[in-house]
Amino acid sequence: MMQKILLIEDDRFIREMYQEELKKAGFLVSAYGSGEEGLQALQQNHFDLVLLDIMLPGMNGLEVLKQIKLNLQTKNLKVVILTNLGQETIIKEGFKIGATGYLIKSSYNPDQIVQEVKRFTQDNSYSF
Amino acid sequence: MPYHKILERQISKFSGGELFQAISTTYTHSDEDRALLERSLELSSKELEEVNKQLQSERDQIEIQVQQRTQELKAERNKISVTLAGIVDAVIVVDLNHNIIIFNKAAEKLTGFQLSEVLGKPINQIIKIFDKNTELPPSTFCPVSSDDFEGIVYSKEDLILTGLKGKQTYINLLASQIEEGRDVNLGCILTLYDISKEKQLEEMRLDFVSMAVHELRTPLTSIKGYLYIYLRDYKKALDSKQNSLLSRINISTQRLVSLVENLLNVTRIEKGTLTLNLQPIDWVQNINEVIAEIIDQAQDKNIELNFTEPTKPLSHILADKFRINEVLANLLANAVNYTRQEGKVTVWIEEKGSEVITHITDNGPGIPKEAIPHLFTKFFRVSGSLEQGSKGTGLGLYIAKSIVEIHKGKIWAESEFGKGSTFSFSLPIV
Ligand SMILES: Nc1ncnc2c1ncn2[C@@H]1O[C@H](COP(=O)(O)OP(=O)(O)O)[C@@H](O)[C@H]1O
Ligand SMILES: [Mg+2]
Repeated sequence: MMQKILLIEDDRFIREMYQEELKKAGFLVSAYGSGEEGLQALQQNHFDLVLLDIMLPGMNGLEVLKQIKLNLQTKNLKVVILTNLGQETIIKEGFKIGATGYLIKSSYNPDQIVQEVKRFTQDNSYSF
Repeated sequence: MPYHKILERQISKFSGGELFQAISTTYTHSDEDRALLERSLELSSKELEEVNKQLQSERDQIEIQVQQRTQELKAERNKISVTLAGIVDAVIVVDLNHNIIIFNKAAEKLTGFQLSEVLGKPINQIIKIFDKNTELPPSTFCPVSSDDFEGIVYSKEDLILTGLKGKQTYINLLASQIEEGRDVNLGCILTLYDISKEKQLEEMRLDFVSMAVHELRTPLTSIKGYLYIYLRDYKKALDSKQNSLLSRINISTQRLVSLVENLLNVTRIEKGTLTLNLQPIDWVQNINEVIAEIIDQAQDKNIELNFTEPTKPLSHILADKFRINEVLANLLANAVNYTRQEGKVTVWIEEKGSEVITHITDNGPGIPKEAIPHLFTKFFRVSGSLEQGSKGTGLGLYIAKSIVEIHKGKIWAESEFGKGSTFSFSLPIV
């Protein structure tokens, strides 16, 4: 069965790049530019993994993560934070709220991003 | 007529006895003595008067002098207290028992305490001084010694002072002593310079740079990503002209990425927020990844870039992959940048004791001996490098050193001017 990914990223070019690459790798991807839209999509569909940008207009990524973890239906969903190198405090905060892991956008090339997403979706006991 | 003569006559009226005779002669003698005495007394009183006069005048003079001195002392004291009140630095003076004896206006402002509240109190009851997170005892920041040394006994920048109700201020501190301290019960003179304004400005500057650089990063991530995809999917279909154009775009992008990352790293180092996420790392694979990023730049200059992989598996090392890659990237970029066309760059690894040492050797221009000790300082560039047409910021090696050191490793350079250089760094084996 195809794995379903929810991608929340405000930069359109990066969003479409990741969406395209993940699709090519065999994932089903729904992509949104804001936390509000992303949360709405979560209400209506089932997903296997959320890729969540932190710097978002309006509701920021950590708040979105909190909402996901507070909701009984989505609290066990794996959420991977998308960040840039050097945002350690945000990463730490994310782990505290319940993130499964993080990806550093500025340090991975598109192939590496896909590879990491595969690891997250396959490995059920993924931990740092 | 003297009394005794009258007395004599009166008595002789009663009887002319021998007793009266004797008394009478005695009196006559005494009379002469007395005259003598009176005369001498008269004389010495004159002398005395003289002496007295002299004394009086001397006393008056002393009085005037004392008044003058008192005036001078008062003026001196006023001068000191006005000066103390007027200077912007806080001045706190303690006696030999660390009790406060002087506390100027600026000290009141800095600490929040009033002079009357602190006089005579032990200094550690009034202020606390921290270096980063460790509290300094008064014996360190305000030493009182028994020798007669005069001058600065302690000086430190970037300390934190806590005053009334835990009020915190960043300060530079200077402690000094005077030679006569023991005689006048003066232990130590503290001068505290409030640097919180500077700190704030510095922080703002760093925040601004960091914000601007973060903004640069989003489009850069896009450029890098799309270029990667383009080259991956279409490189084979392109002719050599197209490939060479794209290769230049790629190299320039790579350079821009390093510049941006270096700027960010410097702001992190300055802010003290350069932290590590240590994980077991496949060091050989890691080196290959970084080489893959720079290979275009090497090929562009026809530089032969080799990695001599170790024959035996390496011991485990813990490192922050992304941070340590910045070290490799900076050292490799330098080797490629500063080595002439057709040069040679080799990466090799060595396990020595409890360390893995990574060397980057080039046969470039080398570095003059006198420049080697300065290589790893911020903004340092060897003069003359510009003639080789290379531009840089002088930040690369400074960052490399900072990153290696928080990994508890060491970094160094060996070079023979005109022959080439080897940059090396060690990482501890776990
Ligand atoms: N491999 C090398 N060969 C010769 N000179 C070097 C080499 N690596 C560094 N240097 C010298 O050290 C200086 C500092 O290097 P770095 O801190 O990376 O700053 P930048 O490369 O931006 O100038 C360079 O400007 C160069 O003069
Ligand atoms: Mg450099």
